[in-house]
Amino acid sequence: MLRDITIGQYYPTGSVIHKLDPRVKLAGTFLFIISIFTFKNYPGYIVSLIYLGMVIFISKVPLKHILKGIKPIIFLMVFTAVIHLFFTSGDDILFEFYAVKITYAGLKKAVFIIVRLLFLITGSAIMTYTTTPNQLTEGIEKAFGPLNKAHIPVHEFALMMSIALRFIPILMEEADKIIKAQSSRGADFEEGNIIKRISGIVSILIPLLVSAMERAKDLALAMDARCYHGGEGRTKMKPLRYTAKDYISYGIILVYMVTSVAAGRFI
Amino acid sequence: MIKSEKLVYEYTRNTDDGSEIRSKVLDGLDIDIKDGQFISIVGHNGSGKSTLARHLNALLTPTGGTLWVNGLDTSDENNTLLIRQNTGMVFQNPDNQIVANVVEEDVAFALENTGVPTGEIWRRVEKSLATVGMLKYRSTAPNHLSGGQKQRVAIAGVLAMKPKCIVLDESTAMLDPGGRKEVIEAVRELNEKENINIILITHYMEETIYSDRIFVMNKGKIVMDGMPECIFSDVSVLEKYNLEAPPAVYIADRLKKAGLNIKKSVLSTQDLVSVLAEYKKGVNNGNSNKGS
Repeated sequence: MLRDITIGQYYPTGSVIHKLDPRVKLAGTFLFIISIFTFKNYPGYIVSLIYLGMVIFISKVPLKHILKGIKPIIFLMVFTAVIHLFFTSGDDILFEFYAVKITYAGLKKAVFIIVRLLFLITGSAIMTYTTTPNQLTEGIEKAFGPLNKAHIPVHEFALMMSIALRFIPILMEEADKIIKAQSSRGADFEEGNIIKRISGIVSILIPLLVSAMERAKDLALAMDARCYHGGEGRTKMKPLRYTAKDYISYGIILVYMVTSVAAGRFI
Repeated sequence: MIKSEKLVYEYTRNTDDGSEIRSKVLDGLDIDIKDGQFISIVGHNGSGKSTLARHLNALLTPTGGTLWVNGLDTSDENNTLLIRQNTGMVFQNPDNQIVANVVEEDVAFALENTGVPTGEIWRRVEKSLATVGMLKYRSTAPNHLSGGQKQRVAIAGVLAMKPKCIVLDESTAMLDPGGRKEVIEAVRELNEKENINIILITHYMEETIYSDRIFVMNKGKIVMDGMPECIFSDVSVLEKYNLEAPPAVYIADRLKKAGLNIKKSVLSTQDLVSVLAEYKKGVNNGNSNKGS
């Protein structure tokens, strides 16, 4: 069930975008999301669409795969769009039927919200399709590194994230085993009312939690034994270094920001 | 070189009615292990063998007596990092000791921690992965490896620190027979070729037959200490400490008791086979009584 979610799963194609420094992709995605919320009118979205299309094309991730990832959030998009459609007040009424009133402003807002959500999801999905969780963690660690001076434990957070990622498949396997073990003792997770089902889940969660704690204890010991003593004085096997393509990408991102915001706000 | 004098580890536990229970897990151990030896430590559950292992790289420090690893006192906190670089440790559960999501990055973990420069990290990672025969899996995710392979990666991670000694704390306990063989072969090779001190803590007696020395532990004390031939010469003594001799030794012992004349010491299955083959030759020559 958890395995079916395609948003955010790395999709290796070996494209230029895959090889970019994760910091560039983080910054690009972040700025892209900001940009689409500044637009007041259509032209901005058109510029965004062109850039997004280009990035998707260069990344070589099939459009079909991206669309599949959007599927789970279609309901959310339609829901918010409908709310905007019916509950936006305005003078320019397009359609009226008793209490139901659709205004031109409402329609515009509904379309915008759909486009915004679509861009937001696709934009961030492209980042996760082209960046492994590890690179992402390293990018975050390096990008937020200066916060260390403000006593925010950036390295520790990054390490926690990468360890969490490492243990997801292990804990999923474990959960599978526990479900089988509990089912073989007569536990039923499929039938009964909600309360019964929730109490059934408890019988999975508690053993899972206990085993996760045991694993954490073991791992802490193993890390101690391998000389782990915090982020200070650590070196990296694969340190992040900007190359020419990263600087070029920063340039493209800058150009995008200027053109799209100008188009979205002033045309 | 590992040396201890009157090594004691004891902890107090509070019971429900408020009284304190003191248990001595290690009770006055005197050890002297020379460089390059292959040592096995056996003992049943609760004999203190894992506690001893954890002392060897300062994960635990003695509550009494002293332990020196390469001449460094483990109680001194300033020595801790150096001791851990010199004495690597491989644990029981292969999954719970791999930190990174890619094999080569995991092998690099200890090197990153100790501040080894990037170029040197790459060289050492490559070398240690090659030594344990895992180089072709360097960019694989650890989840896709078998138990034995994961333990070999863990050994490579320790090896990258260029240790003088590797402690395997029941590292074969969770593996299938194939995986156990893989790991034991890997450490034997390290012992022979790189002259690294191996301290193997195990439940499986057949893994200990190649060691230079075996310690048998019981209730926090070393009760037997000697070469495998010596330790396995009397199966009944081992049984006293709830230990079972390796199958070949056990069978040879039973055969001896049944009246078979076995003079050579039998440790491995090969030993047993050759002894029996010799015996059979004797039978065929007609100068012995009926074989079994």
